[in-house]
Amino acid sequence: MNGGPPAWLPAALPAVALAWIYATLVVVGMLALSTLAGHALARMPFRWHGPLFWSALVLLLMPDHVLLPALHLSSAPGGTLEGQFAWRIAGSHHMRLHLALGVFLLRQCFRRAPAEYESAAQLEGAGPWQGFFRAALPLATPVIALLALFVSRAVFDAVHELPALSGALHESALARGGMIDFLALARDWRNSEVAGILVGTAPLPLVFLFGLRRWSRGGVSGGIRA
Amino acid sequence: MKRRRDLLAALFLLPLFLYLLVFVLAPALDTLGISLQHRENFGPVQFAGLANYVRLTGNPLLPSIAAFTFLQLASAVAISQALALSLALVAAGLWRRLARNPRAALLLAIGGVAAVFLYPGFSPDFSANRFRMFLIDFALLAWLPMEERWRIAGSMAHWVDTLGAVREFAGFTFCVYLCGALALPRDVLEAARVDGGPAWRRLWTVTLPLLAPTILVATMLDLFRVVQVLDRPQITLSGSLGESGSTGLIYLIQVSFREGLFGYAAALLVASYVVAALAAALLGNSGVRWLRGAGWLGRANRMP
Repeated sequence: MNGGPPAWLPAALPAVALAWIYATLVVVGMLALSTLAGHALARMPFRWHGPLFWSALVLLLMPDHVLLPALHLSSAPGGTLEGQFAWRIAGSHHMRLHLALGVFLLRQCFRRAPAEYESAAQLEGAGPWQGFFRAALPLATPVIALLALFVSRAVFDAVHELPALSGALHESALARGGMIDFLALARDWRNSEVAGILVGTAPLPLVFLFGLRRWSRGGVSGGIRA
Repeated sequence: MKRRRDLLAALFLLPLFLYLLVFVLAPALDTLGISLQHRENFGPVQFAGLANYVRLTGNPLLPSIAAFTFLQLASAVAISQALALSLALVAAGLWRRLARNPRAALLLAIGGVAAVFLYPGFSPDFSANRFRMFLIDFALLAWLPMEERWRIAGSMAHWVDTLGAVREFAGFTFCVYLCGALALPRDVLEAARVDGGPAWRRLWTVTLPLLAPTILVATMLDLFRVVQVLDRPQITLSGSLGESGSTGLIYLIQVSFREGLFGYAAALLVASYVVAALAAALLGNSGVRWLRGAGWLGRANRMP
């Protein structure tokens, strides 16, 4: 015992940070983008409303594979699937898959929720942002909880892709044919990195449980309708 | 006032469109550009005009690949939808019966949803490979030559693999349908029950028409999600499928990542996306009109 930090700590800490940052970015980012866009598309009759909604939907529903040649060729010649390429794939895939659902559900939810609360708040002197945060957003919490539930589970399922996001973690794992492989880390007995990634994604089950509780209590005001 | 409202809406939409610009539109335009080039892996770039698209029209494999992809997509979505809808209707019925006991209903809901979401099931990769090995050694196929047994086993395992992937999505679709089923107006359902008639008729003439908008949304989302996993057999069963058992995505991986013909692969992607998007828009539009007009909501299907 020399009193210093345990030997596994330096390897585990970047993994914890990476997994935590990734999970937070995807879950919080997806919820924020879809809530703001859903509110604007439902409650604000601005110019170009229809074309903007449909163009967003077309882009959100575009299969990942359409983007694959461009993303692959934009990585370094001879490069594998890690680093910047992996971040772009992850950002495109995991967020977009749920953003389409999120924007659509929240648009429907805000369209069906009573607008009187927001109007009353604005009559009382609240600005548009205050009206949104204080009056409109609370009505949408069951839907937001449902989305948090889906996204947290999807990100937790994708935990095996996380080593690809950092150059520090992947050397041997990705060298084998450029495959993103969480299990390769485990096979190489790099237990501290595997444990770090799992610890970093620990908030996701909490988001899942919170979402489940809030959604089931909030009943079915999700308005999942066309 | 109008200008201020437009500005406010732009501020709300700005984060979404910035994200789309960086992560979707820029790479999509890049793919479009690559489709106009002769490009092999990271080799030199040469402008090709529409040559890649012209080459597509002469590819004899494309009709069979398109048909096989459509068949896989349609069957996978139909199975997923039927499974999720029937389970959701049963669960919604149970929920209503337990409504007098909110604690039990809450426990049932949490248990049901958690079971659907957390159950890991079997690994699709493992199950497809195991199923293939089982078929190769299956006694009834023993009289066939080994090469033919490999082909049949690979093709069957292909379906198992796709359905295994679909099972992952059934939980999500189940939740969408459960929301829709629980939001149905109780007085209408109760009136239909009092009026009598067999249960299947009430389902066909009352429940499903009321659920039609939810069905539309769930089908659209399912289609989008299933399209993304039609390349899984390539990962698990590479080599044993042959060109006739190829979905569009498997063929795409073959052309791009194995043969390195990225210009041709990009042309294939752009053309198939445009065709699919146009078909989806036309069919979706007709579907919505049918649902709102002469279909389920028409006179012929109304309760007597």
